[in-house]
Amino acid sequence: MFYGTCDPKYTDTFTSDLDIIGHELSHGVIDYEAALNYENQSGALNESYADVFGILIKQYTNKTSARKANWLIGENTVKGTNALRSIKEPGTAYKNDPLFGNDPQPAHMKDFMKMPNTPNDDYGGVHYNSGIPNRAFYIASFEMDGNAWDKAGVIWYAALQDKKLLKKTADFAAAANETMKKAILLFGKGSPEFRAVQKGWKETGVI
Amino acid sequence: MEIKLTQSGGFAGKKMEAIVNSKLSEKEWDALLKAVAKKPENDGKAKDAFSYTIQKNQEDKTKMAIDIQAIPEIHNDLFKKIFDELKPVS
Repeated sequence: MFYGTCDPKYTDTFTSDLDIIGHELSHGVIDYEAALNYENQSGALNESYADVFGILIKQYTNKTSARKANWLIGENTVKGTNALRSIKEPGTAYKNDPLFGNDPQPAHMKDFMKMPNTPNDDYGGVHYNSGIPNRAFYIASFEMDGNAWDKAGVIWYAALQDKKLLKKTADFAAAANETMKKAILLFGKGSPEFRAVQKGWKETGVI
Repeated sequence: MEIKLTQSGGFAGKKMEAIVNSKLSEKEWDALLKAVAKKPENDGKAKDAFSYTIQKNQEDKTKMAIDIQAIPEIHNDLFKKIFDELKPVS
């Protein structure tokens, strides 16, 4: 688990947001369950799962429903800007920031960032392309209404637990298939929950 | 001698760079690289951890992954200066 030292010129301590603490602790859960490889699409899924669980912890603590939540990660951490990431609208967490520029996260597969799998390139952009599965989760949660932790979170976690289907090298399409299968298993074929999950992955261009 | 340090990864995944002038000789530079070169056993992909590379000049192609925990004490002031200069790459 890594919080990292902050640079006081740009950020407050990374422990000032519950969602960031939740994100980091969740990496342990993700490693225990699916151990998604930390590179390329599987790495972006790893990061996305950590963001999803981090935001669920914040929403559960604050008792905020999916439709009322702001879905921002690190809103107290970054100085002078909105947040570090937006799960609802990836690519909008900050704009024209004098230091950070614009939030580069894609929200759709058509904007997927092809980056080299090197430490200098974020192992293929794991913190960037995570925006795509993040938005899929947001859409699914919004469509289901109510609290994201009650249904969408349960479906996402069930998919993570199935090591046979969600392998270490899973890509976004595999996560889409797996979450849709779990939605059927938990709520039934043709259920509003299944349709919500399907809509999330469709609207992000994954399926 | 110009030294460029690149920091990548971290929770935000934002790349940062610093370029500073130092008084290191070639011999001291070689000794520094030898001391901080990242050992293969420390090359795991720790989630949200920072990664660092260092190079002598901006044009230098021999960028090397380093372990900042291994920086010799004698270079503490130099690296403090470098870290103070880190700025996001847009």
